[in-house]
Amino acid sequence: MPEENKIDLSGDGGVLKEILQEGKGTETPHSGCTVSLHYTGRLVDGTEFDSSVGRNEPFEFPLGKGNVIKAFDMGVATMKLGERCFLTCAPNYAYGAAGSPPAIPPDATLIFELEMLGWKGEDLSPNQDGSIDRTILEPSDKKRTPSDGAFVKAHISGTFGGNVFEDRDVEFDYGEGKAIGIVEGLEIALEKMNIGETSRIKIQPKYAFGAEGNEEFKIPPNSAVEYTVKLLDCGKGLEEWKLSDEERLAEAKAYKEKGTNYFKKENWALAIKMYTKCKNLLPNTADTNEEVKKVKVATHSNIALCHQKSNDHFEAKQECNAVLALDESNVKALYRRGQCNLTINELEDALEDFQKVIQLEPGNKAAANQVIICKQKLKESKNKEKKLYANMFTKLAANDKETEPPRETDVLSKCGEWSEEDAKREAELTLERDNIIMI
Amino acid sequence: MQEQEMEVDMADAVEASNLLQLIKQLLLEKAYDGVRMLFESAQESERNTRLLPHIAMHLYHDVCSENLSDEVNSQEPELFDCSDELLKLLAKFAPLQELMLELMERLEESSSLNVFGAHLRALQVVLQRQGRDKPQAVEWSLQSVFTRLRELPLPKYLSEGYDEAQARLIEQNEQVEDLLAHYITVGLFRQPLCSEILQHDVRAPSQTFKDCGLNRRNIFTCFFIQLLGRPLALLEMSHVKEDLTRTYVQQVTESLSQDASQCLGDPFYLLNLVEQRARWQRKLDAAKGVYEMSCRNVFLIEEKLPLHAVAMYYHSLFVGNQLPPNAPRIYAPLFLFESIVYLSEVLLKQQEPPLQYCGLRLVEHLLSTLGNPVLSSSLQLDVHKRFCEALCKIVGYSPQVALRQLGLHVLRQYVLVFDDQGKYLILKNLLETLQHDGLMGYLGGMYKDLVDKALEESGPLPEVYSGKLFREMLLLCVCVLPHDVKSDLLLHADRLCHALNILRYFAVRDKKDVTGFWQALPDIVRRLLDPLGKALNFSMAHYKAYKERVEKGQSASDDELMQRQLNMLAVNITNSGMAGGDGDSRLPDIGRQEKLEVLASSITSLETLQSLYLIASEKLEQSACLRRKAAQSDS
Repeated sequence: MPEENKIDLSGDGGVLKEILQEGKGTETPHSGCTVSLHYTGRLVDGTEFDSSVGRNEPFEFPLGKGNVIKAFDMGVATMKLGERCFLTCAPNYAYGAAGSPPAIPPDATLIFELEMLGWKGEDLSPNQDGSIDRTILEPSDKKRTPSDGAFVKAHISGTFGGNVFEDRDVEFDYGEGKAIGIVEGLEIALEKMNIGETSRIKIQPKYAFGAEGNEEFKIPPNSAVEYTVKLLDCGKGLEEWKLSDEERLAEAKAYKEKGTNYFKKENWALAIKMYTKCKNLLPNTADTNEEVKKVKVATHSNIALCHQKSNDHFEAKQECNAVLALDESNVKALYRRGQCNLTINELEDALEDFQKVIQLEPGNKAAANQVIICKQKLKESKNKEKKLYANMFTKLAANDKETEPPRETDVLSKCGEWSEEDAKREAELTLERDNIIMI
Repeated sequence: MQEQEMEVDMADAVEASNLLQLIKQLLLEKAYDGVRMLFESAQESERNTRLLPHIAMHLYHDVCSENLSDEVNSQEPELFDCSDELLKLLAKFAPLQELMLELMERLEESSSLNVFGAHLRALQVVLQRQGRDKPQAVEWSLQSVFTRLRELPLPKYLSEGYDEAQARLIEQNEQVEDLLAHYITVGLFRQPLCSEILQHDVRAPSQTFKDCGLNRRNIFTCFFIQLLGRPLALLEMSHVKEDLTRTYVQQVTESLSQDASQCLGDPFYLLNLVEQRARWQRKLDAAKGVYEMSCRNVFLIEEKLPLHAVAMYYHSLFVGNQLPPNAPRIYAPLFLFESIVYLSEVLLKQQEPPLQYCGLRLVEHLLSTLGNPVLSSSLQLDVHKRFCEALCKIVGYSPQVALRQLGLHVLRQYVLVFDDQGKYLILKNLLETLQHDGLMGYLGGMYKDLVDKALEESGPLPEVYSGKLFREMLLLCVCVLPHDVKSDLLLHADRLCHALNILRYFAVRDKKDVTGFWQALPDIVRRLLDPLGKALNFSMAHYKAYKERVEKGQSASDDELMQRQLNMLAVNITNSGMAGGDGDSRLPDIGRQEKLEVLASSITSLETLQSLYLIASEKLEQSACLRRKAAQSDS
């Protein structure tokens, strides 16, 4: 190989690249991309020690994360699509003085033949459906990432259709980004960024501005957006396991406070999130510690109210149940559960709840009013039922007068039986439907 | 034409019905060979096999389902065998989904290996017929198989841990034998399926990236790895290094991990996902359709691929030496190490000692393969902290002696694998957070050994072994008398012994004050030696007086202290695996003689500590004197 054809990638002659076949276009993979390629590794004497070709499957790895030997990361990052090249790696960019016995001796120079097959961005979405895609523009060798509750400092720049719609420095506690207008997709991506890293994050609508879009930023409904983010700093998250019971209680109270602040701002989702954190942080001493019990009751009660405000009456009812399990004569919880029951049309339960409130607080006018409403509704519903049944009986009576249908087949013999087609369709549906619990 | 076809169908149906009656009649007459002849003889087999699709499910319900039971197997084994053969035969023709559902149910409920095996053979045929279609159905079938294995009864001691002698005899246990027989049967079941997958379910040349979705190959990969987890993993404590015996556990494990590796292609592929799984939790959100099972990458779903089973797979690859010869060699050693620390931590956190044991063996293996020191920057990963905590918990408090011993060895190797700064950071953090006295003493001693080694080498001492950092560490691990003069010396005896030895060592070894020891000495004297001297005198006087009172029968007021010491002793006994009970429970009141024995042992411990104290003080005095003389002669 003539030396002049070799490109020095490391600057010290440690990693030399010789192109065998030029690739297409000008683009090369960014750090963090998943790269697919074929490689064959040989020692200087020509002994093949490793090859993806032999395994009959391309080799895949996330670029620039140190998963492979240094020279490999370095060389692959410079390759274009379809490019073929030789990579000569000095020992300090490969296995060094130790080697990798028995195949690679100490201080071995390695020669790789590479063929780039393709790359794709890193999918950070929880469902791995491509809705949050990261490309690392500037990697960082630091390894700390934000965790729940940790302080985050970052610079974000959002673009839509080539126009920048926001460009600002942000500071928030991880998990509460929504309060300062950080879209969910961005917050999810930030969790996996190292301090000092700059990345481009492509976010699909469901993790960005959703079906509503954003008027202020002139983003139409269901639009994908792109952010460039630099994570400037982040603290360590709350280390729950290290906390004593007193510390847990204090920390829980802080989250309760946060929840109340979001509640005042009518941000129900974040309020619920904070209250839930408070609930989870509380020590398991509600039976013996009156203060813990008090905070727990208040937290469940507040979550119930938040759910009510966001029209999730069923969830609200569950929270009221939790309160009442701790304190069965909690008037607030009984009243709220009554309201939920009323909304979801569990009228008798609602009536029972309100009546119990009056029993506990005979002068509670609001509950008395609700009792009247409940009774009224119950009456209406009974009347409705009566009418319905009356209609049914009238119709049935009319039908009876008609001539009896001819008894061609025994109806019972077909009861519960599927035709072959029905059975096949049902079985296929059952077998292919996701999230079905087979009994 | 259509009429003709219908007539033929009708005729077949009648013939099939007759065949069904004939089979039943033959079985009633116990003419099992006759039944076989129906499908084996040259004249009959073609016609009868053609009729089977018409009666397959009837045959299943009327014959196989009824006769494939333990009762029939014990009373009429020939009938059982015949039904077994019929089931395998009809599985080739029965409606796929219908039979699959039946088999799944029967597999989960099967009461013995024979019943399980019979249905598994049929499932094999069904899955072969199913091919690559409906992977979800395939997955559910495999889950039924796994459910059965998981629910097999096992001896309790497997979950509680066992020693080496028990481990050697583990396969003799009846329940274990049954479990292994089930695993071996599953091995026979999967072999043809695995070969078929490797042959047919391959990546198309146009497909650049691995498909991680729900497909047959991935489902089987998950199944193989899942099988390596519990309950099989509970038998892995019997895996003894360099043992020439090839146990059934090893054979089963090897064959499973080989199949998994073949299906994965690159056996390290899952390591790329380990951090993602162990470090970050998926944010489930029903409103956005994000559920546990909704992830498009099946390897990220805990229910499909439990992380402890993934760890066991790599345990088999590394510790069990099952890495395929063509496995990639381009992964960076640091990446392998960090990924294995994640997995090892998962195992160490499990309740069952056998899994903890595997976690230790796994990380021990990786540590032995690392050629270059690991840079301290790796410690920014939170997993190191969690790993150390889990490891120290085992070293300090596991009731299994073997685990504690191996744990301590691993802890030592783990600390030593880092560069100097890394070693220092780990030791310092552990000394700051640990509560276990003996372990803290050991770690302090380890730091002393590291400084000793550094002193032997030429050139300046690394900054973590001298000056400010040395002083910080020394004050942290040596000069600690938790409650000043009032400290319970017996409770902290281990740590204090180590501390005094360290002082003695530096007094002798570092007369030139390369480390900065002599500059720190005044602090050490103030914070440790002075109060310790007083505490020793107090304690000794107290115990001697107590002993005297016991001898005279006047000790009631001191009994609480005695009880505390006995409880401490009970914890130690529990740790050594000698006691079966709960270490926290209070011991019953003891008699005068026993009290005297406990007191005598306490006094001996204090005397040992006192003699160490005196030796250390003497050495310090001597060396200080030598240093003064040397300084005078220099000046």
